[in-house]
Amino acid sequence: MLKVFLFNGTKIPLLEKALDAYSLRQRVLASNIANITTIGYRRMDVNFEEELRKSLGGEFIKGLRTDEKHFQIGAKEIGEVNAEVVQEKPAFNSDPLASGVNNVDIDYEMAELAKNQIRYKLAVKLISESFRGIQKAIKGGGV
Amino acid sequence: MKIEKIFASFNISAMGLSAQRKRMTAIAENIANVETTRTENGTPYKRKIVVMRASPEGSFQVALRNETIGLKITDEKHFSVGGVEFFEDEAPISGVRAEIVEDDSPERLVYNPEHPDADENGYVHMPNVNIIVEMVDMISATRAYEANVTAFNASKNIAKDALEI
Repeated sequence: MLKVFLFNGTKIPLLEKALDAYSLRQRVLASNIANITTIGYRRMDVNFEEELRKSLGGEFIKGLRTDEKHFQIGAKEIGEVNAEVVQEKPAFNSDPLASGVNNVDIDYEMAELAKNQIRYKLAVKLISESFRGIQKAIKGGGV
Repeated sequence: MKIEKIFASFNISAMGLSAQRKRMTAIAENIANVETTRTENGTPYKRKIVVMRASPEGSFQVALRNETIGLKITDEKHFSVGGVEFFEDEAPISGVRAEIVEDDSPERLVYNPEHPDADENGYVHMPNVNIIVEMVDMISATRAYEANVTAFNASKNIAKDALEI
């Protein structure tokens, strides 16, 4: 009960999801880079931002659930957005052999790696700030 | 979240590093034996090539899972049977394994009747190693190794950041 009271109004649950997603993506990128010379390997990615955008944005119809036995209609609730690993399908027009033996493009993977690190850092900063805010509220701001 | 998962990306990058190092070893062996006309079994040296295969990340958990019988847990209310618990929808993220195989392409023939290993027509069977191909492979292995080091450092930074929360 206290947990619901303390954390549900904040961005902490959302940031937790984000941290999970970024650490999953780190694993996936490590796997793509480790398999840079594996013949026939198909690169993987993590689908998180898209799902999150669907659940946050107003452009998708979303059924309101007032009971937990209700079925999910349309986009997911924020609490139910989970990062998932997707394997990239070979595209029709693009060159399937970016590195000669598989569809891993090392420049792209390195850029994604750098981005993922910064995103993780940002999420850590935001979550620490939220905790600090709660602590301030408990202790009081005065001397 | 299990602690294993934090180190999973370390394991994957380490597998990549080890695979590229193995490739480097094979290349070094090929270059060192570019003129070897007689090996232990009497034939000229055969070029070694490394074949990469995507394989499940090499953690203890994976090895254990392959060895023991366990029942799948598809709902969190299920009991775990057989000791090893895993969820049905676990992500298929893979590491990499390197395997050394011999190259069966034909040997180079060099005309040199004075050579002790020359055949009756005066031709020496030289190994099927092309030094230029080996050099190019070496550069590629070095770069791939560096890429894995970068990925490893990124994982390390992320793990360190997680401790700052």
